[in-house]
Amino acid sequence: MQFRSVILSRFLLACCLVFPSALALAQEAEDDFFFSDDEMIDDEIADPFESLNRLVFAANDRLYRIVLSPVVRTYRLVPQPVRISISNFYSNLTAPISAINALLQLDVPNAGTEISRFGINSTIGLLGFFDPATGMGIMEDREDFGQTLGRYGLDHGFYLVLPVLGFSSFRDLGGRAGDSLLNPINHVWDPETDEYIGWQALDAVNDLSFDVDAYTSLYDSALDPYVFFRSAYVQNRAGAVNR
Amino acid sequence: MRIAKLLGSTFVSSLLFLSLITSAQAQYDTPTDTVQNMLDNVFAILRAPDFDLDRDKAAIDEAVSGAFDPNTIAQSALAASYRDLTTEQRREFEELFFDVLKQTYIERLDSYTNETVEILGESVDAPRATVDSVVNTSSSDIAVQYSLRQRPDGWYIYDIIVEDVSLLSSYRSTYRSIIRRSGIDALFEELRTQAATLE
Repeated sequence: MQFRSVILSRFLLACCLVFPSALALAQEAEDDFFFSDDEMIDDEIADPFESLNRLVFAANDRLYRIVLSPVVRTYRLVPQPVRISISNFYSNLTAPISAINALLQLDVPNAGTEISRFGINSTIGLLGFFDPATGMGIMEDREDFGQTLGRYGLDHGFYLVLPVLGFSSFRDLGGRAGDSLLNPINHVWDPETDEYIGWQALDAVNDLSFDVDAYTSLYDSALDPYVFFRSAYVQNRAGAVNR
Repeated sequence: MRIAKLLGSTFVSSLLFLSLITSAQAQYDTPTDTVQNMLDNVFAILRAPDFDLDRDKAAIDEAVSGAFDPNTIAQSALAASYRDLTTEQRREFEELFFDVLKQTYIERLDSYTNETVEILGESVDAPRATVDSVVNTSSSDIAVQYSLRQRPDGWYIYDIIVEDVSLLSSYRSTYRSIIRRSGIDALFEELRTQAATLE
């Protein structure tokens, strides 16, 4: 009996020794996927103007922290349902632009979705302040001209950080110009007027009011925030183009 | 008699041991289990009527940590550079980076306002898997995808992809650029300083 328990304990010991190392071996081989740089690079973009971009990024950051963030914090006094309605209203106004881009990408179902959303929300949704379409299961799926260009194989070209407006690229800047031609608001006011600037500012402030601190906490978590947000921008746009 | 006792005690301890294994596996059996279990734990804390982030931080930390795989996170964040690290450096990086992530994202829960999460499905290509989910906020729906890796005792999260942005990829790019510019020691130095300021 003594003998048996010795064997048993040896067997157990052997199991303990062999199993983890076998597992470790299997793990080691599998680790290659997580080690390889090639698998991981999904956020490359040419950045020939990096030094200039970094300056603009730093200026935008200061603008955000010193001006925008306090404004947004105060603006949050506006009750949330009102802010949601404002967000709905802005988004509804640009739904036709999204529909046109879907058509340009030959995505007829999506164009149909955006048009029916616009029809429903502009009428039953009281000029777009409410979003009954989502309640009916007609979900928003935005397309912009940058995505359209990307869909036809146009690459970013190079990365750009625009003053005030933020992250962009050569392609997406062109896309922005294309979309703004279609934006009804650009035919109401000249871009230099106070009304126009106020209109755009309200959109931005309202958008940010749902999560003021997201940007700053991500910024603080990244050791090189410029690279962090550039990477995030490229990934987000790639997803939007390929969806 | 002694043998019966011995057998009895091994029987009991192996039962205990087995029940430990099965309870761990019940939590992390499938990728969805891991994510769902983690979310349930976090929401249980968040939705408590007397929720207070500063007080409940440790509880959330605990609810979250078990679902993640800090080792894979660290490997993936440094990619090829991870190979050149010593064991101590690996451990230090793992700890520093996981702490930065936890501090950053647990702090974000401060702006929690009744958002709900819906798991849409999973796709498994062992030893990796993704779980698709959507976060319903008051103003929009946010697509969130979890990447998981299978370990001997279950599935663990190593990346979160929000609106097509992989958090791990974004951090990896920043670390790569710092290593390229000033070397791995500089990266460690910066990480230590950051850990000290975040606390």
